Amino acid sequence: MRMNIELTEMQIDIIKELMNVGVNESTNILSQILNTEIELNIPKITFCQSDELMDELTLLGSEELTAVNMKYKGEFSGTSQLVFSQESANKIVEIFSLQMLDNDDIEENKSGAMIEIGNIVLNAVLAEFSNFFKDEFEFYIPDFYENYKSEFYRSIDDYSDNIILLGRTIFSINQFDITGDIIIFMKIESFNTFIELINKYIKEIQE
Amino acid sequence: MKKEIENNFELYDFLPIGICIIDESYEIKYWNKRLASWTGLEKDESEGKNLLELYPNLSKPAFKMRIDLMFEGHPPTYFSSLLHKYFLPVKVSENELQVQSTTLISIPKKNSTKNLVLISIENETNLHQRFQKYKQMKNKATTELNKRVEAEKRINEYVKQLEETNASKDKFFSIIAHDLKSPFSGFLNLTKILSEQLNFMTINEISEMSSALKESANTLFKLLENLLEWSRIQRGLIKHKPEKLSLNYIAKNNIDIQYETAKQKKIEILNKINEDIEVYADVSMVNTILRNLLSNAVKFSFEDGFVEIEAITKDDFAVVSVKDSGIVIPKDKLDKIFNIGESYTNPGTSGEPSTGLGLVLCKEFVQLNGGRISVNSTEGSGSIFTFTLPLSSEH
Repeated sequence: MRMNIELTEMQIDIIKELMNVGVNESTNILSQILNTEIELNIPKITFCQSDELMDELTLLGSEELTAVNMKYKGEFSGTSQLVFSQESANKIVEIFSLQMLDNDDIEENKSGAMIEIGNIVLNAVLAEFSNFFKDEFEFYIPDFYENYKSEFYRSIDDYSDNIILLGRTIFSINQFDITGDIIIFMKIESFNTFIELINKYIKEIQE
Repeated sequence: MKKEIENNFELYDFLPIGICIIDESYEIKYWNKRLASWTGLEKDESEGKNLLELYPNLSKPAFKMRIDLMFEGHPPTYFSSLLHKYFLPVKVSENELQVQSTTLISIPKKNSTKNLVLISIENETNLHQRFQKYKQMKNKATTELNKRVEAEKRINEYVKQLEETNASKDKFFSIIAHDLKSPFSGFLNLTKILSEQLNFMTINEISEMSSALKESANTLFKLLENLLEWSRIQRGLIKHKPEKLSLNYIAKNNIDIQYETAKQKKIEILNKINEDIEVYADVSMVNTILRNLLSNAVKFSFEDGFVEIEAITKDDFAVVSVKDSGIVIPKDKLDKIFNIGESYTNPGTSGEPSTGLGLVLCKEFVQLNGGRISVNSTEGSGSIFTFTLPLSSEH
């Protein structure tokens, strides 16, 4: 089912701000693990539907993608993901391990390390949403997809009635800038609830 | 409270993972049997104790900041084995600790704003050890494979060397059998005629025959000279003794050697080499190279033609070219012309004999001096042989 997703500049600004506050919260924890300053920034957000998602993800510039997947349930429910190209995922694992890793070591540890990093970032973003909407979200333990593109294509029909919020995220660590995407899948009803809550907030601040 | 938790979680005693439950003051409320067996701390020694006091490593901000958030109802939190190695230090041997991945889950507590935290620890040591073993096996197999590929490469090189040696031997026999035998037969016939018919010959006939004998002897001598030099290279008897040489001077000497032959064919040899150019090379090898290239240029140029020798300097090398106005070398022969066994032979424009051995020698000597040789031949322009020699001992 196609849906016309048109949001006002104000609505987009608030959602972008929410996500940025969330990722900034996660930088404290990531910096502690790395013992060095790390910055996360979401310069752009986009809303799309499942058939448009892969076009957006091709901007990550890789044949294959990896993703950490975490489900949540609350006033609006869905799935959140942190997606990287294979190369960026390998680079992140190597940077966070604080040691030189060969390909075998990266393969052994990639899933665990990416789950932890994805968990930290997605937790922070979803916790910010949960606080903002004054709603107790129920969260699920994250899991990891190595061949995300193929996985997504296999289950694309399951997402046909989903609206997808995509935030392009830049991890600045030492001299490296690594780009990933935070993706939040919401069913249409959840998306409507989400927008209603945003509108309610806009009304509150304008009164 | 403790009883209530035990009733709720006693099933966790039968799981193969370590489970611990703490409250917001880090007091241990539940400690399953698996953790007791790993740590040696029984339930009654751990429950009621403070987790941070038992395991001070958890006071580090990388752990504590995230555990603290869990009491506020934060989403499940995961600690990977790569980034932390372990959550609780548990010895598996004298020098080795368990490799663990840990998940924290926030559990609402009755009548409290703060949640309990369930800590679930998975022991990944076996998995890690198996992976390391697999990695060692893979590395060993890769090393073995590389060794075999290397050995195969060496064998192929030996085969190629043997093939070249065999080709050299064939060429040697071919020269002995044909190129040396034919002119010798001619030479013998001339001497036979001379010795048997001398009394019946006029002075002019004797003079013509002795000129023919001289030319035949010269050709044979040149061939023998090249053959001997080539044979000395093959046996490793030639030593490379480089020194500073004036290219113009060596070219001049070699032009002088070709002067008589060139004059007979009305061929002009032009030495355009700048007098300042000096190369760092073995003098007898450079002489052999120029002698052969100039001799060939004269041999394959048509009457009233010209031969030019010039040189430029480029990237620490002198680039010397010998240009003739002679017959074209077929394109498919150009890359074979310097190889023993494949070399291209063709008589000169006046029927002069040719073995192709001279160019093989040129290539060997240019390479021994650290240079390269090539040829270009086009219809109407003749052929240009170009070789390089180092300008200094740096190369």
